[in-house]
Amino acid sequence: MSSSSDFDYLFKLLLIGDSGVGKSCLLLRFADNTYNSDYISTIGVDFKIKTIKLDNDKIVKLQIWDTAGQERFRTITSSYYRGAQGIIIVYDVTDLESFNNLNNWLQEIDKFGTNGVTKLIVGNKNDLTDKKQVTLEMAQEFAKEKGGLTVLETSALSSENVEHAFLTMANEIKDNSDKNEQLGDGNGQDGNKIDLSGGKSLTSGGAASNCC
Amino acid sequence: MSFDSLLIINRSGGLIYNKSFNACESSSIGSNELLILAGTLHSAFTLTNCILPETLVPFSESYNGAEKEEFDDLSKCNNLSLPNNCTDLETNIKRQEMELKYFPPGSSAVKNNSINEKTVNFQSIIKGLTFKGSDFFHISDGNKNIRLSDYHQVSAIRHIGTEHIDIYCYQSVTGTKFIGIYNHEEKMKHNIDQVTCFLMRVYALYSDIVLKNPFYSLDMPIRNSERFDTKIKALVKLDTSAG
Amino acid sequence: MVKVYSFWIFDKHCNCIYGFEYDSIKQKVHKVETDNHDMIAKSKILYGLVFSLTSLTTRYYYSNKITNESDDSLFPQKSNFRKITTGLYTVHTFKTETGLIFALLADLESGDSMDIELQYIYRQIYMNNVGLNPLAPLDYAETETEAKGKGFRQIKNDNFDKELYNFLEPLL
Repeated sequence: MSSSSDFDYLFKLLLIGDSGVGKSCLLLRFADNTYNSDYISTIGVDFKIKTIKLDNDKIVKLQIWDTAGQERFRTITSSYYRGAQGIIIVYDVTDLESFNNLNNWLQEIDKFGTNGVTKLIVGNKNDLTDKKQVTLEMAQEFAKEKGGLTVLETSALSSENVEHAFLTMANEIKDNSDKNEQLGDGNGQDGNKIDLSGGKSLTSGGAASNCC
Repeated sequence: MSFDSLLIINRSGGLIYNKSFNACESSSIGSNELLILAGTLHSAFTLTNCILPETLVPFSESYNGAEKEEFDDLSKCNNLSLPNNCTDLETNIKRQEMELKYFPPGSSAVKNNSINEKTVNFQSIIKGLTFKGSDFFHISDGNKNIRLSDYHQVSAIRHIGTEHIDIYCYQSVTGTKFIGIYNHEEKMKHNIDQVTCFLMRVYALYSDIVLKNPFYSLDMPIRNSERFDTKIKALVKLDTSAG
Repeated sequence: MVKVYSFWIFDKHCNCIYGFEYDSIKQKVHKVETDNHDMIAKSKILYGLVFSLTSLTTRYYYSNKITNESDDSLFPQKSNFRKITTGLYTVHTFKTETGLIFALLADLESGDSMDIELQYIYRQIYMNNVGLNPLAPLDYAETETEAKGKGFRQIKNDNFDKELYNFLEPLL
């Protein structure tokens, strides 16, 4: 008999953004596993796991839900926002359209995500300097408007930036959840009310059949 | 068919508990693999709702307030009058009553212990918990009316069958999933309801021991809970053919 | 009496080459066709479900076993995914050696297996009308992109439709 809860915390992070901005590539060097990318094209989601150690020596598993950007998965992926402690929104620095769409994604987070979820904006493909359309200043300006979100730029060549961002995020989430516990309502930030009456419930099967 | 492992998946698709009862020690499935497995199962629950045939849509329960309006519309336009359906007055969602057959604890064990012995064993599991009566969720009214506490999760996956393994799922109303994985080493067939009853007992243990622990934070991995481990072990021993 | 809700065939390139759903209330048949986006979306999701659960169960099974065989191909030979049951319906699947997947959504009465029905559809109806038909294409994906899951061609064969309908009619 064995049981392998070899980690203290499990955080759910969600990776969203337009299709083609290189969401999956972003994690290529960062995650523990990278092999089963066939999931994403069939069920709209793929999983990447990263094990990290927090400042207080606690082991955290970051389960990153890498979602497909295509429109046809939109209703399915929106059901994955539930319970996510952190959301990473990716845009392509060489594609102005994907940057302009950030607003839509933030709206989506407001609609489906947990209140007070930690957000991070990542500009990808930063190595293509000659094609760059979105400057870091533009992105920072935008992030400031949206309530001081963190922005960083990255490329497939550099995973360091990403690594740092994730560590910061994990520590932030940990602090948040500790705060909640001290307040005595671990569920307080969670806007989802649970209705236990009858069979109507919070099943994961959110979207009805006409979801797509 | 022998019991292989037990998983508990939280409402957002994270694996919070797993215990393998596999006899062979060389079991090499890592925790990362299991996390992916849990996430995939979680999304499968969503997907099964997306392929619902039109005719069944009115019977599926809603997710939360977000889709409620949609359902109202649907139930209006398909004014069904099928037998055996009850109408939820509050939300207008027509539901299909699901009949779950009750299996007493230990009913699937291979060893032919006497019923008395099983009851004694089960009572020793219940001991120290807050439950009264002969089982966690089942209400026996004298000897005629045997009733299970309501089981309405009609749109949740209950069973996934392959040539080598069987995966049984029970989803609580809060969206926590209890997964039992069986392999086909022993030729014994399980009834879905039978396994559901077993998983409901696991749910009862989880809510009584884990959730009532003030130091446990919701949706996080269940660690260092010896009491839960021991009770689960005893329950598995009683309720399945595993060790 | 078993009630069948829908029926699907997928080819080895992950494309849905045939599918219909029967709405017993409106007495209408919805077929997978190029302009029926709802049904195409449904077919893709059903395929994704079957695919991901196949790979999930295979991976689970083999990592818990001491085997020397490792099989990373798209469809590992030895994991025969059979069915999914929810509280409302059961999906029965049948995979042929050539990589075709036949799937049938039926109600819970269908019980343990619809293998006999699915095999009959494959051996008799599909083989006689499509498989052995010299006019039917050998492969429904004609170009390379179509072979990579972007295919859109379906079986268009009146005899096949008719025989399938005759066979499934009492169950609809």
